[in-house]
Amino acid sequence: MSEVQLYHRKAIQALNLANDAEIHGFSEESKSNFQVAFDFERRAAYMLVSNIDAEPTRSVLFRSAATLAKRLGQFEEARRLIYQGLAGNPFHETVTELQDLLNDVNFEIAIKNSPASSFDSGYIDHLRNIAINLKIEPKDNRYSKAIALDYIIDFLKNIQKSYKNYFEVNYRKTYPIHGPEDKYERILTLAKQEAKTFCVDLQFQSFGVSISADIGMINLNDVFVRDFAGFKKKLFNDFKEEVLLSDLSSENFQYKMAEKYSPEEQSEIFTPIVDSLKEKSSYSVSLTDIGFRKEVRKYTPLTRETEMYYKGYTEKIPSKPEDVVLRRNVELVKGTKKLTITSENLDQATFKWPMSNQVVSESGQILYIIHSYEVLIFFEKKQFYINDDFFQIYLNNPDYDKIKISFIKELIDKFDTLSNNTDRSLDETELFERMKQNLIKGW
Amino acid sequence: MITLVLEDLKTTIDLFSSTQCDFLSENCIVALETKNHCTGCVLHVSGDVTLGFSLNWNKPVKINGYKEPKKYTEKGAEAISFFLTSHFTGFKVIEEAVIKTGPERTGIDYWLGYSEDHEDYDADNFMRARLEVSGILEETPSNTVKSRAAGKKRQVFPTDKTGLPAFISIVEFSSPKAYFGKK
Repeated sequence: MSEVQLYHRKAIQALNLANDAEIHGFSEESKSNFQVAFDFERRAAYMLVSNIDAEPTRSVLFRSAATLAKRLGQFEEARRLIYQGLAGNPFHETVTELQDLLNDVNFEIAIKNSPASSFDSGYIDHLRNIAINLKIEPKDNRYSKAIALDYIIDFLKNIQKSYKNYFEVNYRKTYPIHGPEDKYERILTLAKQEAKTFCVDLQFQSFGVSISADIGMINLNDVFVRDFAGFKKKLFNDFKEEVLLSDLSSENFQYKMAEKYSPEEQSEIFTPIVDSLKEKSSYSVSLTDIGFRKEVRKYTPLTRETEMYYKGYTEKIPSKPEDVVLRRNVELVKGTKKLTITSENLDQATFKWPMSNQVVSESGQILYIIHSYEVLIFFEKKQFYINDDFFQIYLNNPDYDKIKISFIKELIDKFDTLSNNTDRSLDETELFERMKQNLIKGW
Repeated sequence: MITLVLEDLKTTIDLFSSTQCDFLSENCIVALETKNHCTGCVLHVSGDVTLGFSLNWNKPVKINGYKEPKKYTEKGAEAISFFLTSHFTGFKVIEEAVIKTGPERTGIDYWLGYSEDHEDYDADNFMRARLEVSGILEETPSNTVKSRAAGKKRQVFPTDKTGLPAFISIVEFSSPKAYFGKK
């Protein structure tokens, strides 16, 4: 065993002791073991400092040592270690991990460097730095660009509601329920009080607002909720990325969100913000630079289809296995007149797609199907899925026609690639044999 | 057919404590028995190689401590994945790689390395590849072993740097079956 390994092992042993001590509430013992773990891991990392070919071990050890330095509050040291890690030749996964860590460390340094006497202004400056600058304007120019207070209240309320729901959904994901449910809900209620957004700058020519969230002031005891500070600090940035800066109409984005959140969770998070961005909203929203001088992005009003996509699951209907349709009845009453509107949404379904004997790709390539072949298309969580084990094609798309087009393209591409590749794995050889027995290239 | 005795995990993974290995084996037994399998059932493995393994165990497991399917599925998948790593690659499991925490975490990653008697063993560069483990208790139309494998393989980084050598292991306990292959 090399000295590097030896030190690394000692670091892991000390880290385990530190974690055990922390769980049992022995904070001094925990801290001293973290320090020991850090000393060993740093020593192991520096033994490889000039051995830039020792990847991934080199950069992983520097990342690990930097994480421990951050844990001990030694942020400058953590930053040095991260730079050493990046200075080698790390694989791209480790580069991303080191950069994420660097962002966290830089944040801690910014907070630490705020003079204690001017903490308040330092903190608000920091909130301004992380804020998102938004401007709303009335769609109707009847009063020049003066904007009704109702619109401002509606907009700010929607953002606050969306953030609170985002907080709750992600809290439940990060801290799954364990122990008595009522205790969990009590702690969640306390935690939710920390989900506050702030207005940290304003402009009244039209209406521009810098919105930020409290990410540093922790009232909830970290002992009750492990690493709550870390969770809270990261959340507003994620909220900006996922909710305020994303293209809600994009299919890719919708797929990504469908992977991460259930339909009900998506509805909770996005419904308030969709209300502000929908076509029928009385105001338009844009993203601006600091100071609201330059418009960076105008939010395209969301179509009715996108609106329904996010809101489609607001009402829960008891579902039986044979139920594939979610049905909602809405009764509108005006005076003595009544109107009942029924809307239906598919919950889950399976479609059989019998492929014709000859299919044509978008680029005009023709593929002949020798034996009749039926593709199963599943619908679940607002997405269509093809999991075709026979041709090993796995796709998803919110659009039924598009998934069929993608399937044909993938089938042709796969057949073409395997035909041209002579160095096939066993798995690929089997697949290629199946393709040859069932498909004929027409190009 | 190759036989894997689940209780023998501790002899396959010599860098982990036998207590931890026994815990992983127990989780695996719970996941298999929950899906009504018994000793001698066959695990079908696809991916870089297609092969069947007979899964054997003798230990009676008291299931009262195993109430959370997600946990025993994940831990059970780790046990199977370690056996498969040992069988299909020249690597051995070195240690857990804590990369992500919170909601982004979709499974557990482990570092793999060569054993000291391997010709490519480098005492300094002892972590050589990553193992990405994922478990499914029972497939659904939208969550299958192969679609999850395809999803992991699709991850592309917008950089010209070479990717970290990695293996994907996805274990499903209802069939039971697994995918094991290079990323």
